[in-house]
Amino acid sequence: MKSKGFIGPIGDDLPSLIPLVFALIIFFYSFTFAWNIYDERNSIFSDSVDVFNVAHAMRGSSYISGFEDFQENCSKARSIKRVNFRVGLLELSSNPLAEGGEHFAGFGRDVSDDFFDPPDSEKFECSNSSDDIPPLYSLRFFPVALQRDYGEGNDRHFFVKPMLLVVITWQ
Amino acid sequence: MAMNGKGQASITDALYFLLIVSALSVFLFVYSMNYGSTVADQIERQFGQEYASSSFRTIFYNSTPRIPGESLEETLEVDYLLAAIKEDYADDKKINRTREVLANNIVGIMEPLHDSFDYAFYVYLEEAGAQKFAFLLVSLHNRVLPEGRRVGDYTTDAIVYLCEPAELTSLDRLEAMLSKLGTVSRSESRMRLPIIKESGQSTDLVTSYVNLAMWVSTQIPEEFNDLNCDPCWIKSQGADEWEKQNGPACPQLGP
Repeated sequence: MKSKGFIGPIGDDLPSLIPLVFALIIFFYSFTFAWNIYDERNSIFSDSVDVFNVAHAMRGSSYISGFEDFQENCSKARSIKRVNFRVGLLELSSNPLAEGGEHFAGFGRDVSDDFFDPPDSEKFECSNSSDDIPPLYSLRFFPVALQRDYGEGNDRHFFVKPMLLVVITWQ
Repeated sequence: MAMNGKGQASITDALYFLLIVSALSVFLFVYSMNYGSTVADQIERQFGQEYASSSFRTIFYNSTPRIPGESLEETLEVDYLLAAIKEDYADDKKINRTREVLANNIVGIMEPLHDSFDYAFYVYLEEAGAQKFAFLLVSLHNRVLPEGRRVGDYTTDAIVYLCEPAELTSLDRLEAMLSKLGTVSRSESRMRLPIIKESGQSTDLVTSYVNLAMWVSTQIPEEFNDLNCDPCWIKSQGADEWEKQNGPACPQLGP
């Protein structure tokens, strides 16, 4: 019998190992890539749900009747343990269209530095962590109405002004 | 001959295996690229919905000084904006004295999203079987490419329109316009508006519908041209202040 091209029972199968190894490498690489994407996106969705939960607890009916009400909402938000957060209020303008009117100042490098801190009350800030906000965080914001008591004695009155509730969360 | 064919069969099997695994890998890759896109869309939609809902309530909870021009901190008499609007409407069935205050509150509350979003705020009521607008504000971005300039040289002006649609089908026109804008986040509520009777002794109550709709800034459909809108405030690209315009639907410029 002629043996042209015949190396042996095992030798003849050796070349087929090359595409097999290629196939395995491609498969495991794709699987790992897909798993990483799946994991990362689930983490992002979980963070977003946490932001909404914290925002929902702090926002209530979008009317904050004062610092005590804010603190009460803060206690409810602190029951959410899965995520670190810092929440505060920024001032919005009621007359941006007027000549010389005020405008929303925007978000600074460290948003928490600009949180509403009136002279007659404590800073409207709520957090469940004493750590600094890391470079990677999620941020959402919603308008709310804040009741402010003003004046003393016979001049005492209250008014409601628009504020922006800023919710920052991180893992 | 049979023994010579064995090596070829193994390589062929391996190539088939490589082909199948490549197809599976492509499928895994495509699946992972699309994974969560629906959920991500829903999350953005939820954010838009909650922002619209919060903005809506904040607009009406806000206080306004009874004496125009005074600040909330200095004035002694304040009122809820909602109450001021009802009072304005009661005597002549028009929101005219509080138009500018309402516009200021709406634009102020929407300012954090203003760079990327357009929005419409409107109050309509049913009268004699037809819908009539008591108030319609639309904020848009107008992108202009100056003649002879390149595509990257767009300038974008922000414009706040006040509209006085006259036609009975204007609500349909507005809804048709909104349906062409992609994902629109909306919040709606009812508001009872008083009307002082001719005798002046008592009031009737009519039900109006208040809407806030917001969408990512895009090219506005042609239905907008049927709404009889006037540009009342314009902010040019790079400017800090709004310029008030003088149109028929706009609050009058000061003396």
